[in-house]
Amino acid sequence: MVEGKYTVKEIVIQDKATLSGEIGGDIVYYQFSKASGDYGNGLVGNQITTLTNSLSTSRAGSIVYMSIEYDQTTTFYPPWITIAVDGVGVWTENLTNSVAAKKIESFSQARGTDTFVAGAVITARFLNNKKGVSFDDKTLIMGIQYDAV
Amino acid sequence: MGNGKKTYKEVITTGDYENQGIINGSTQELQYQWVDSTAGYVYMKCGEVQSSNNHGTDIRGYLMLYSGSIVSKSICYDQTIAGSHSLIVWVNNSAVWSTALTDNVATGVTEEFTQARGADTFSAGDIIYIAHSDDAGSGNTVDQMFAKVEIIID
Repeated sequence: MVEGKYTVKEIVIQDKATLSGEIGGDIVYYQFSKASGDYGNGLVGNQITTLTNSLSTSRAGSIVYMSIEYDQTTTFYPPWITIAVDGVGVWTENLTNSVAAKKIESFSQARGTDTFVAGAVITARFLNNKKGVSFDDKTLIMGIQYDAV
Repeated sequence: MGNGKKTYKEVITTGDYENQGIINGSTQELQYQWVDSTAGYVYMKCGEVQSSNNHGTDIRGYLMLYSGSIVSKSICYDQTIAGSHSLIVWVNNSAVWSTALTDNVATGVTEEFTQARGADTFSAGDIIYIAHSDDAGSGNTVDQMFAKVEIIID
């Protein structure tokens, strides 16, 4: 028997969930990277993005998560990352200013904080105040949460 | 207390949803790009690797681990010369979802398309890739293309 609509605050399923429709609120990953020390926009695959040309969204939603692994070679030029939506920086996080390789940091924020419409251009920017110095081998995953379908 | 199986038409959680097994019906997105100016039919790259369809003998793209459906695609591009053009999703040796794009010389154009689950399906072991076409010599020329294909696992 198929019952109608079920609304609850929290669900835990101990085995397998099978959805014949779609998941509203599902999270997908957008991936960016930049091997060189140059600051600027991330690459998708091996191609540099710009503020007007990058991954574009199929649906409306929110940016809820970003994680990064990177190398930092001097503390004189502290790095930060910015997520831009349609060319406008909407979410900036300063990274820990310390010299090390394979540093990992992650950030999350509530759904609805930074939103986008379908067709929005999303760009990840790796920044510091000295081009070509200090901030290398960056890989970033951005968590995108779509609105209800 | 965990117990048996219940089937609902629709479930809404206002808070979190935790699944201790696997979710059949989860979503993921595949990324492609092609930045060089192109006036022909081009299969976009998967990272640094050129996807391809050499008459079915050299198919390259993302290999599917599970069966599922293709439910959306999006593209961001610059159009430098006018002419009709299309965005085509391929599964193995078949062009399964072709959609006309807007013919408009402009930069930073975004277009997105959705379709119902089940419209275009794939099996585990299939390869998915995406192409841009100038529609048989329309003269259309584009560059700076970034595209995504959204899939839902069965």
